Amino acid sequence: MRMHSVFIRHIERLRRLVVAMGLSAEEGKDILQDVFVEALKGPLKYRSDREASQWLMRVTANRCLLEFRRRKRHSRAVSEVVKQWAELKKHSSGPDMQAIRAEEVEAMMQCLREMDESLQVPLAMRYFCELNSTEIGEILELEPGTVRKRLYKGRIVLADTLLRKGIKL
Amino acid sequence: MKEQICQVASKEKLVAYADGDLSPSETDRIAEHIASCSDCQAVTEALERSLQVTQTIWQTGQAQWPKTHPLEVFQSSKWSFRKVATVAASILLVLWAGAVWRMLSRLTERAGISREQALAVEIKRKIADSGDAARLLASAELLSKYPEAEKDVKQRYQHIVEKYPETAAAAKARKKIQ
Repeated sequence: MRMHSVFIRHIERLRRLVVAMGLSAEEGKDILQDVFVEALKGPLKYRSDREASQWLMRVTANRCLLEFRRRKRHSRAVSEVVKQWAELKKHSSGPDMQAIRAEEVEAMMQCLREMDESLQVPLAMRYFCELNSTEIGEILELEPGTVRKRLYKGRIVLADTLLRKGIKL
Repeated sequence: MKEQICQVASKEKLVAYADGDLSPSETDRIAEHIASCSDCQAVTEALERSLQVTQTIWQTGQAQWPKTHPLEVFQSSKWSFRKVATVAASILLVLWAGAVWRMLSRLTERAGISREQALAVEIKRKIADSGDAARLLASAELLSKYPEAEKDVKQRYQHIVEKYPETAAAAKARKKIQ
């Protein structure tokens, strides 16, 4: 199994995971470089592309968690997110979305900063890296049922934050 | 423990509904219920909205990554491409050295077997030469009893000396010639 080619094929998904863990592009680059070097060290262990990509996601998630514990990120400027949303909206052909508001962004960022990592990683993998419960379970070495429970719990934590703060939807 | 919102639906059920994880009949039932339950409606909206906002935060982070070739991740301050290439080269060098070492071990092993075989062949050849030389010497000595065969006998001794110089028969033949 040529690990570097698997790495290149899956780098977009790995980047998404890094970003969803609240790390900056610079920090993300460092993490992905470390993961790449790790991948070069252990290229013969995994026989299939699937196993290799799971290994990459697992190692990247663990590295992100180490970094996340140190820094507790998700501290981007709220105004920057709102501005970026407007930019993304201009170029998006998806369904119409109500304009994003600063108070919502602030609430969600705080929630992500405080959220238990056992919920945060599956959420990022499911709703940003577009993996299903079975795939997430294989990466994190959890039963699919456990993954689903964590996803549900994570979604409820996010939703409760908006409700608790009385943010008008 | 499921957190009930009302008698019909729990929060988990509404997440499953929002994610499309329910069967078609269950989806219809919950949709009908939400339309008439303000509490469930509020939770469903909060579930959808919170996810939208979270995904926007993630997308904002994603947009900060320049659209470059995948391997350009190696151009940040911590690891230059050269450093990564050096690490990769070191790993390859170790692997190559291992492979060469294994190959040399095998060759040495093979060479050891060849030496033994060559020694055996050499011993066999010397035994055969000694036998042949001894037989030729014996025949020459028999012929030497006949004066008319003197020339032939000398040729035989000469042949033994030239062809089997290291044998005991050659040493005796040399004396006969002298």
